[in-house]
Amino acid sequence: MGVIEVESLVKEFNGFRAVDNISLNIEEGEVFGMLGPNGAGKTTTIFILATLLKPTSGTARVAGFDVVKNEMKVRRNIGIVFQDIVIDDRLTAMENLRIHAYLYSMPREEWEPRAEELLELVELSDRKNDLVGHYSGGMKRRLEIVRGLLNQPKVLFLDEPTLGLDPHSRRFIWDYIKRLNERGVSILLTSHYMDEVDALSHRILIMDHGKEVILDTPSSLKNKLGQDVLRLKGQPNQELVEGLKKLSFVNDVKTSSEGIEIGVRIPGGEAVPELMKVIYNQNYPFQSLTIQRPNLEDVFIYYTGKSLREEPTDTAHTMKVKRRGQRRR
Amino acid sequence: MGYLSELMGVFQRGVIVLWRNKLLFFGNILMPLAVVIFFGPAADAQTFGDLSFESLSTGMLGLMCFFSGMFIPNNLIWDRDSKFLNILFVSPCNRSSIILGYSLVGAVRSVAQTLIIYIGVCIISGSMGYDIIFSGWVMLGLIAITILTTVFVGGFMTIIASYSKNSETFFMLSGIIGMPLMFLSNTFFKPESLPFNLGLFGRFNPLNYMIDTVRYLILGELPPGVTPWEGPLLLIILAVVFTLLGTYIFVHTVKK
Repeated sequence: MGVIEVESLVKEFNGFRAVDNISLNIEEGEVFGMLGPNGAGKTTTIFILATLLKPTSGTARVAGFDVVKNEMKVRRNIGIVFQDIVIDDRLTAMENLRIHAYLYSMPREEWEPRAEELLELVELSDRKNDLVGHYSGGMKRRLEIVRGLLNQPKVLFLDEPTLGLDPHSRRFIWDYIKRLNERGVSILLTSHYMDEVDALSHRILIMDHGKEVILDTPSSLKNKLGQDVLRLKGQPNQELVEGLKKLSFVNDVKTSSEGIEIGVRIPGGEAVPELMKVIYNQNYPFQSLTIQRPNLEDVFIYYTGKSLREEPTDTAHTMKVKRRGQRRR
Repeated sequence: MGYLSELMGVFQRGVIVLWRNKLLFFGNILMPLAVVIFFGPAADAQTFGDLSFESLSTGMLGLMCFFSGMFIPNNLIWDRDSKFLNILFVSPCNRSSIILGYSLVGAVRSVAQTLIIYIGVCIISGSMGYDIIFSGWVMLGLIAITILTTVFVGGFMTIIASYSKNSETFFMLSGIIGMPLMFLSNTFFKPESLPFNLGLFGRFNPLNYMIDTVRYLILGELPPGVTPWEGPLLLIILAVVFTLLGTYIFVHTVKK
């Protein structure tokens, strides 16, 4: 039995389907990522699992309890960090945590040492008696993670945990999430940052328009698209191109004013030695050689036909990604 | 123990925020005191017919409780719109403890403000030769009436807040409901001196029973046919009923 079990979950608002037939099973100790653009249904799914919304149909169980029939038991076993920062900045960090402990009927001897330990973990111990209104966004987010963990939940929901944070703070938060998972906390993470979901998740569910697009491990998702691309920066050279095309692992070779792009069927690192032999034999002067693996954005484009960043997609790039995936199959 | 702990969580948050916003707290005291200082003597000069300094002052004390209760749900709306309410709703606490917690915070503010105004009224009364004398027993009675009134009005206004999309709508609806209740209460006019239909409305105005009780506590006077226990009993019933009803309606309008 998984720590979260969802079966054919649907949520409608005035006829609009925000969550459309989602099913998933999250194992204990797993970090499960939900990736999708704004409006994909990620937050709505989390709100249903956190008992803030009732599903229109389907079932969901968290920590073994039904989210509709056993709301209170679900709430006792979860912690949540919302997308919006909802910490009371008129109170200090410890006041916020004390009040949270009261809401969970935690005795002082239980919550106080735990709060101290968690504040130490997120490096906020020396600011615990300062008003939260004086905190930076990253500090508030870290405090919210402490609050979400105070009641020792079996499942922690993180809804866009690094939204609006600077890169340094994002890395801090990622480190904390990894440390939490090492301690055995099961985590359901939603994000529209592909690097975040890629870095943290054991498995990823890609969502769009409320629907499941695909569910798999990050590496499997990227491998489904097939080839790495090696970029050779320098003057295009037709003889070199012909020599490269003869290599057995090369799928295609394209030239541009900047250089040569080589699609390969094997991992890019394994292709480099043979490529270098050809380049050396041709005595070709190049400026740089880079290896680009397919990323989750490429996966998203392949399966949905549009970019995760919601910008108008370059049709040529979309087609290239689709062809890459089809060649792999 | 669990319910008390949950209630303490909501209550403590409100009290800490209240304590840290002293300007707002003391600002809310100035208006009723100003009414007593400037209109009290005028009332006593029979400018307003039924009124005297004593009746106006005791009426203003009662209205203080009423106004404190009216604006309790504004905190709820603010927390709903800022999504802080989600933190409360995702916790395993009983929903009525949330609404009651907010109401009790309002009651604390209301009690503090009422007692300060009562002391102010006693001082003004003494200096101007009127008949309101300070008493510890009256203070205790005022505390009880204030808490009950604030909880009742807070619960009732929570129902209004449930159907208010935002603070502006809530204030508009509060005014539409509050103004008739206030002006047709026996703070300014005796019900029998009003036109028949308005006087009838006054008979069903819960504020009248509350203000009658405050006047009985301070002045020892009651309208003919009214017993001392009617007001407190009615307030207890209304406090319980509207806290439960307000909780039910608010929770079910927030959670879809």
